[in-house]
Amino acid sequence: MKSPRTIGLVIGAVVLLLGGFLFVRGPKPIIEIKAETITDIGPFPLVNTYVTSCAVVIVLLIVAWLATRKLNIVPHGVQNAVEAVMEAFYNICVNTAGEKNGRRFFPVVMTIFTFIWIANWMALLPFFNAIGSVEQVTAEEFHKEAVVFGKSAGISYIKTNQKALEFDVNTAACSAFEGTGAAAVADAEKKHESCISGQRGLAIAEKLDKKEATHSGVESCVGTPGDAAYDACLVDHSDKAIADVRADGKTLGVLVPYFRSMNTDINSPLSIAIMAMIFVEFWGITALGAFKYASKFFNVSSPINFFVGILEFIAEVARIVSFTFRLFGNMLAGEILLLVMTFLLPFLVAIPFYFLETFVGLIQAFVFAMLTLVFGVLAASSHEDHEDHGIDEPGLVHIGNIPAGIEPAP
Amino acid sequence: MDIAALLPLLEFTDTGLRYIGAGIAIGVGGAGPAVAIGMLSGKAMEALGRNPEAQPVIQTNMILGIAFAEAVAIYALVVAVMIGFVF
Repeated sequence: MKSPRTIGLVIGAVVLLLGGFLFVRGPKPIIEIKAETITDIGPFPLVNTYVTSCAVVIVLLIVAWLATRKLNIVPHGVQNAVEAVMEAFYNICVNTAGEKNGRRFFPVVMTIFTFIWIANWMALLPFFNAIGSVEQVTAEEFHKEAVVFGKSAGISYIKTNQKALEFDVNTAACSAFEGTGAAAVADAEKKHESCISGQRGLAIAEKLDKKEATHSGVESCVGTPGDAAYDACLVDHSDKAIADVRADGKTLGVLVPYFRSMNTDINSPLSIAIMAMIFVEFWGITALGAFKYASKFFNVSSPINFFVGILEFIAEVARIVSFTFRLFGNMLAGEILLLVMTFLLPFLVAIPFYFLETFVGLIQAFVFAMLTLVFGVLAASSHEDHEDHGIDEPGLVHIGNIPAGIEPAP
Repeated sequence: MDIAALLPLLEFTDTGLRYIGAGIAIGVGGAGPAVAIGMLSGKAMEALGRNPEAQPVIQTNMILGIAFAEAVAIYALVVAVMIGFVF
């Protein structure tokens, strides 16, 4: 126990932890839930999560190409690995859905699984959320928190031991121009906008004067908030402070990462969920016929059945919401967790959380795919199937009886 | 004695109440799923003890059930983050 190697490891760990905490801490992570726009392509904003999803597709295509280049009956290398994953999931599929439905549902479900899995795991690469462009913060393009970037050799970077700057904008000063009392004031909305701009400029200038020793001269502005000249004066002086900072080679801004985990943008889980539910309805309709499937929801045989049908319809729509928020919430929470843990203790503490994130990424992909499969099986089965609870014959599989790894009763 | 006049005296600010709301959202919202996951895992352990051969089946279904229960906790977390940082 007291071997030199153990002692060396313990001392190394303590040095890393303390050294990281004391010397190499960065600024508080600026958490932005909305995905950031990198550029605009024509009328469409190019969002960093979309760049990631394209990268995921390219990775999947490369893996598919590598796996099917020289197909052997006895697989080797990449073909072997891909076949193992496919076969494992195919067995789960067939055990849950039965032979015929399992083969029919497998392509969509496997696609959902691999897409979400690779997207979640790709987000753990080191350069995600860390490398990007700097978006400058001014009174017009305002963010509540910003960081001063240093610059060397043309690349802006965040120095260690630097704090994020939080701007306290005094919005109460502009309360005269919003709400119900605003109707009495002429041009209330324009004045409100200019007042807010002015207050933001004031906050930026004061903070920069305090923390970065700039001289914005914003104290020289006199007037009342809402007065156009006063607000313009505030914004001008805040721009002067920002220019002062830039003259030192530094920039006041926020980081817009080039790559961000795909499922932290709510559009991605939403689109996959909508597609999955469209497929579930399609499977239901093709298995049962349109009228029989619709009669599951709009059943006028008795008032109770009608009510239950309406509830089932609402539950069907609620599945889209639940799919979306399960995946989105897990991935967003994981990203925030990793950022905050790395901020608190820079080196070793984030490692267990990376393990957690790996596990959660795989599990969420698996759960999404399995739920789609289970809902498909439910949709493709009619009510008569549920009443047959005799001894199972081989091949007749109910959902509650999944014999993976067990021989079914002959 | 009018509430609107009392609140500034007690130093209840907008931001303060917002953060209290966020805390309550995730605190109360995380309690139910925690109990659910505990019960699920307990039942899975019981089933595993009775029939160790069925381990892959039990494990798969347990993970599925736990993901369902966890989703509710995640909804609460998303609401807490939205209350605290977005609104």
